[in-house]
Amino acid sequence: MYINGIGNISPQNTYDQTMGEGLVASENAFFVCQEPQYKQFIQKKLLRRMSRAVRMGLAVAHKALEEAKNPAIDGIITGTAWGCVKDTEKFLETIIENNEQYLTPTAFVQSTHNTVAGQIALMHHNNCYNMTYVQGAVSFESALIDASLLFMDGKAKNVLVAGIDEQTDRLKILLKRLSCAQGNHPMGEGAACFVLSDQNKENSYAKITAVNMLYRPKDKDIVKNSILREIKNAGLELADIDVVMSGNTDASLEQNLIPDAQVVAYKKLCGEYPTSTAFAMAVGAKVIHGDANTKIALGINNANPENILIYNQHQNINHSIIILSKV
Amino acid sequence: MAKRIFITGTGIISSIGKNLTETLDNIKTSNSGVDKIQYLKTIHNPNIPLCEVKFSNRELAKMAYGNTERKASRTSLLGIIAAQEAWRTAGSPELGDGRTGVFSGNTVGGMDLTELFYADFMQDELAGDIKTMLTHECAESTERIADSLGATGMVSTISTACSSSANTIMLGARMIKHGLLDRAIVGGVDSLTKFTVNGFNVLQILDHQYSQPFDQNRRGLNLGEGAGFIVLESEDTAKPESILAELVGYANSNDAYHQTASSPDGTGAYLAMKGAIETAGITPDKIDYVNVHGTGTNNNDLSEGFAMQRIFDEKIPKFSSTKAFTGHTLGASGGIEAVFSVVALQKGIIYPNLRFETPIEDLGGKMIPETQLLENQNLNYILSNSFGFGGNTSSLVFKAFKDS
Amino acid sequence: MDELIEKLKVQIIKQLNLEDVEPDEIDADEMLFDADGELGLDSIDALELIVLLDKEYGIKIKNQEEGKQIFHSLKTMAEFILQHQD
Repeated sequence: MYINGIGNISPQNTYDQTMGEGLVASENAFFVCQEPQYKQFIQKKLLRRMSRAVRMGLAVAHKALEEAKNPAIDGIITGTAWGCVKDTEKFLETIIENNEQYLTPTAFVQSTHNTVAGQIALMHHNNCYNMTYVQGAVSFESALIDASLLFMDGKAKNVLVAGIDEQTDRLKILLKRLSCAQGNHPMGEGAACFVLSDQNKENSYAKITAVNMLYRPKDKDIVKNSILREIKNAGLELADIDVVMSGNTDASLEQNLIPDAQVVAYKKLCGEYPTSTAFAMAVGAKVIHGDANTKIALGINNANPENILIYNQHQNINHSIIILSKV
Repeated sequence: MAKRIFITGTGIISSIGKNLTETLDNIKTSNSGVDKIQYLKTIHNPNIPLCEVKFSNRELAKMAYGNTERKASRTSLLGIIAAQEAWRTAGSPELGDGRTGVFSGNTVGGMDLTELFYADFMQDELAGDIKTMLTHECAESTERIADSLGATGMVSTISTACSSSANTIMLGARMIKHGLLDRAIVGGVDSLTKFTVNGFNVLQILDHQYSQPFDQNRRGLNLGEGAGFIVLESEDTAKPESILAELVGYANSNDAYHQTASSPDGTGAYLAMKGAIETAGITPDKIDYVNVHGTGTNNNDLSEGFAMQRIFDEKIPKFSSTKAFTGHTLGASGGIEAVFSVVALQKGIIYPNLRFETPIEDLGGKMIPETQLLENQNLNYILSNSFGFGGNTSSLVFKAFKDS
Repeated sequence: MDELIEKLKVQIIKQLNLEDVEPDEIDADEMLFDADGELGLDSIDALELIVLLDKEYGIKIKNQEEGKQIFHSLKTMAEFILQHQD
């Protein structure tokens, strides 16, 4: 699968350029996205109903499509763990406050997890394959695997794949109470969208040579062997991996497994959130494509990294393995 | 080489029974699950009838975990019960090998518990048992199901509103077809919550009486809860004696018309049915029965009916909506109706569309669903439809497995 | 009547989250639900307006069909409210 277009909204300035020079730090253990002006591509009368999750999703889809020169799209697949949190809260709060009376439909209809994928289809009048994955820290990976199946099925030439999660004030309180958000481990949010294609174009950023996920691996050896297997399946040797973009606070497993690779922590730019690997894939692809600012932001020393492993895991329950390679 | 996909197990829990046997008994006696509210705490009792699973959470915990004290969302409990039945009937194949997928469809996760927590939380941001929020996400019930089975392969959750579980069946099939998995347990679950009841109520699509799918005088849908799972196995691993039916067709499309309403001409529904029939490699006239989405709302039944007329022309196959029995179980409906489809093929039966009286005029007055239980039917292909908010439309084609 | 129309404008803008719309921009006779019109309201908005009438004016509208005529314009809405308020 080739990455032929990227839209990325993150706490950093990544929408209108690949990576803003001044990096933003987290505030009170939270990162908040820098959002574009939506009015340039979403009609006002539609915009009024849309929560940030939906706006961000539509904006990154717009950008990714534009970069890929607006090809015909054969699949729209999103991953989101938290879903449309704001509208869910809004509807739930009104139910409780008004004791199930005087409720309004808008928040409810916008609260479903598939709102973003549905709105992308609606906006682009696209009747194609449409799917939404909600599998915690591997929601985005599920979407990527589905996209690869569409290519295997011979049913697609271009597929839009996105990972989106939004923060809200209420969610922040909940995350703090769950001890998720801490000073040295800030929580984040973001939306990243890709046009994936079976065709290598002159504007291709990189290709995805492996995607896999593990559920509750019994021991570390299973994780290591899975990473090694994915490297092999990608047609690579261990030594070919130049950089590991790790989402883990303790990156000893990946560092010990691939001692010659430089391990960098991508969450220092975006914070912790379930679909953070979508951000990692967006910036990783730009690094492979040679973007200097992104490389500096991530602290990558290698002049021309050709193969990047993205490895993230959540509480040793969901593990994600993605490999990006130079085209 | 694309692999054939067989169904080797079924599991179901809904308002008409905690397992397949009870479910079929209630279907035989035309005993619908719609009733006055007994379990959900809501001000809409008794004005809105629901199709509740007739057990308390403690009773469900006993069935799922053998322990009434076990804390879990109603969603997880329902999911575990149906998934366990599906797995058992499939002969409990090898699991911890990473070659088994667990895919579940779901719309509101552990909202049943979130609602309780949130009432406290809104009073005081430090109040309420914060651990409740760990059961909020849709993926939670899928993971509890996977854990109850001891699965360690790919585990994923789909949320495409009311087509969620039909889409998990499609995902499982495609993973097996390409040799990425040997088998998968697929389907979905949803429990009734104030969130969904009020959501559908404010959209004015709930029937305050017993619903009448595909009837001229239909007033809306009855919401239900439950879970339905089937076990898919590749032709390489399925034991011939366990094979119940074959999954031969599937397609997913988007109506791209409106966030909640279906297009008047049923574009998405048409594309899904057409795609599924094409994947099956058959022509529409081979379909012997359609288990329609048939929610009983003005909009769905009309749109689905038009799409069926477009696909089948004058020769509409026998069809019925089993939602008159189970209510609309949202994320679970595709799974529950897949179980119905598989059992129909196995036993040669067609389910009655309860409470149907008058055909819909706008559909030419000709679309008349089956109103009696039909037995001894020679069925080869069944089409099952699942459509949802966000324009998501999916259809599946099941084929009878006959030794030959 | 005019006073009620002005009040309705503000309430509708709030209820439907009509960002950037000023009360003066809505004409009392303008069709609210014209798909190509300025506001271009749809069926979900109609449900929102039903809630607004219930909550602010204590008037219950049972079905959407009835709503269509009432919500034709601000003027028809105001007339309906005046007729039905106790």
